[in-house]
Amino acid sequence: MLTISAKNVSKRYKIYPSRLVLLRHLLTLNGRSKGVTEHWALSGINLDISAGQSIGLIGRNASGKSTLLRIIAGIIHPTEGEIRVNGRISTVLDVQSGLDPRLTGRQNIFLKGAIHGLNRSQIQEKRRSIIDFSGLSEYINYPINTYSAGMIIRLGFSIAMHMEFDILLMDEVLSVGDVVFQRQCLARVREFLNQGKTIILATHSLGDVAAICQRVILLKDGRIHHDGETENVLKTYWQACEREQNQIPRHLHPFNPENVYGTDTQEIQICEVKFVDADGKERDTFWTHEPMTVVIRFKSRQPVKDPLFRVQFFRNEGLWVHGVNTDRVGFKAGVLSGEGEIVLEYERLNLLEGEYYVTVGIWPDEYRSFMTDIAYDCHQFSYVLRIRSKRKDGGGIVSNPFSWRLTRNNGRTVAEFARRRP
Amino acid sequence: MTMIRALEEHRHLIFTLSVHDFRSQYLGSVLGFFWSLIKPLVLIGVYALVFSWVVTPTTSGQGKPVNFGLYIFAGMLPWLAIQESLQRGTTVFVDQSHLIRHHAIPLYLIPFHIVLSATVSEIMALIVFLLIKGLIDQNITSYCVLIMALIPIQIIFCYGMALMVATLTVFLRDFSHLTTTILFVWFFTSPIVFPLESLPAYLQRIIWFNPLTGLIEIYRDLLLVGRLPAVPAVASFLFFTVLSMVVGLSFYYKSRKEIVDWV
Repeated sequence: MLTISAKNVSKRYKIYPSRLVLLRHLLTLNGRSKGVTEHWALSGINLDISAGQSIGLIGRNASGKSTLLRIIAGIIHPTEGEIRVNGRISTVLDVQSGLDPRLTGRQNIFLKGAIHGLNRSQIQEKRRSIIDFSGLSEYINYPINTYSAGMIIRLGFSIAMHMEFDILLMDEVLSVGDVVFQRQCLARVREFLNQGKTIILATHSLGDVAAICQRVILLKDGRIHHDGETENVLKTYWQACEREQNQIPRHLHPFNPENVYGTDTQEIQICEVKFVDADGKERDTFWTHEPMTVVIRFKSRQPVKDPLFRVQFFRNEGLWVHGVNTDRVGFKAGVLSGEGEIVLEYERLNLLEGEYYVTVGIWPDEYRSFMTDIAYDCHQFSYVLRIRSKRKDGGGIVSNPFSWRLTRNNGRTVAEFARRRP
Repeated sequence: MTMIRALEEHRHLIFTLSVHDFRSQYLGSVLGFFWSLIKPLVLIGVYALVFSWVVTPTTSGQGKPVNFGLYIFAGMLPWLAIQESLQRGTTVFVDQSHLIRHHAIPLYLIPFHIVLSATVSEIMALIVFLLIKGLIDQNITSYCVLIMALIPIQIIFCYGMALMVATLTVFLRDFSHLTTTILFVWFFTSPIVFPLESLPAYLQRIIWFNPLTGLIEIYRDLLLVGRLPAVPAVASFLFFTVLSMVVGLSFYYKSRKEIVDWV
């Protein structure tokens, strides 16, 4: 049986540049008005959810998660499309969770109960266990505006869980409570699932999603980007996030890449960059202390004398970790024309676990490249290198070969650890 | 019909909201809800003093002199409820945004508790009125009971207008200030602090365009004179009640789906 069914649901918000434009719009009432822009928070959502499913709703900020939850809850009306919901709904939609800040915790329990159509005595029955679950004890008689965010969410959650419902909607709320409360809530949610209730959880905590949800819906820019089993969708989402992380904000870069991109002269072009292991196989993941070779294939359109080859490694925060160039070691390339290949060999990589973004460039010479930013060709942050390490290699970003030795006062060595060379 | 069913279904909510509302108004004060009596009484006292200088004391229409304080008091009773309903109605959707943004409750229910709470204040004042009148002229007629039949109609009248101003204020907060201004003008153009008979003949006709004229006449007939209200007054008030509902509901229905986006 379908609990929730959405057909082509879209939600548009109109954005009025000023209240005056709004007034004109209201007065004319024909819906036609100048200067009004539209924002589609959701578009073309098709969704079928059957009873007893637990659904995770993920996506970046402003991807439409909250809007979708509110539409399912019947609070917001879709601009287009149709939504059908069978069953009573209980919600915890934000940190305030719909509590009246002016009223005390206890009064809010009665108010929420009344919203769910309970009379006083029915609420009286539940009151004790709501207060117990929230763990607020004597604070329940204080007004909500004296509560901390964690206390509010405890109460909001506790109330929502004690109402009679078939569908529970939660929006990024678990993370506000402390760990004990989160566990308490997760246990409770599992109990609801066993009772055959439907649960929809919008969150950024992939851990929560993995723990509770059988099915995950990934929203992107108001559309369903992915909808399927938890494992598959989470993988896609994680990859998308990483890809986005790789795009380092340009202003963080020390060489002002804007300029570089605009002025590459292209007398020599980089054709291909490969990261190769000891067996000559191309890879993007290496272990710390493994040998690695960077192969750069290039092609020059006209003869170029003594160009400088540079390879640099960055962390995604923009930190320049390591870099080498041919000029500093006095490696002269001579006059290059036509195609060729230059190879940078690392006997062993001393980088520690993480992702490194590699910039490969061919420049006229070292000083000019710093002053003018004019390159023949430069691939800025274009390659991603994953490094994996073992725990014993240490932490941070670089691995220096090391050993430990402990001696007594008499100079005798008692204990020793020497890192064996790999 | 759906509206009446919704009222029935959400009666606990409306009751709870009204109680909280009534309570929260006087939260943190020593005299508590007595303020809801003290304020209008002082107001009536001042008006009675000031206007008895300006306006010649009136007769009840049968040549029997009437206490001018009581005369103003009778007119003030419905005004208290109407003014409070409208004034607080303007911001009710905004004030209850935490409710609106979290629960799928029919939004037209929300202004209702303001009207109820305002009506409770009026009934308190009505009891005080009857006590004072009993002390002054020992003459409380059984017509006073008919007020109880009038009040439900008056609630509908207030509710229609409250729904309208509440809806408008969601989109433009100016309507809150506009309402205050209109209420001020409305008070002095209604026969509350002056008797209808004291007006020139042509104004006596025009004033019937004021929806309150009929209502106040009914109040005075029932409470002061002790007779059945005149048919034109009742007809006029019923007409304006229907009008208020029609206007209020049409404003609401036109924009109900967008209200939540704006609060």
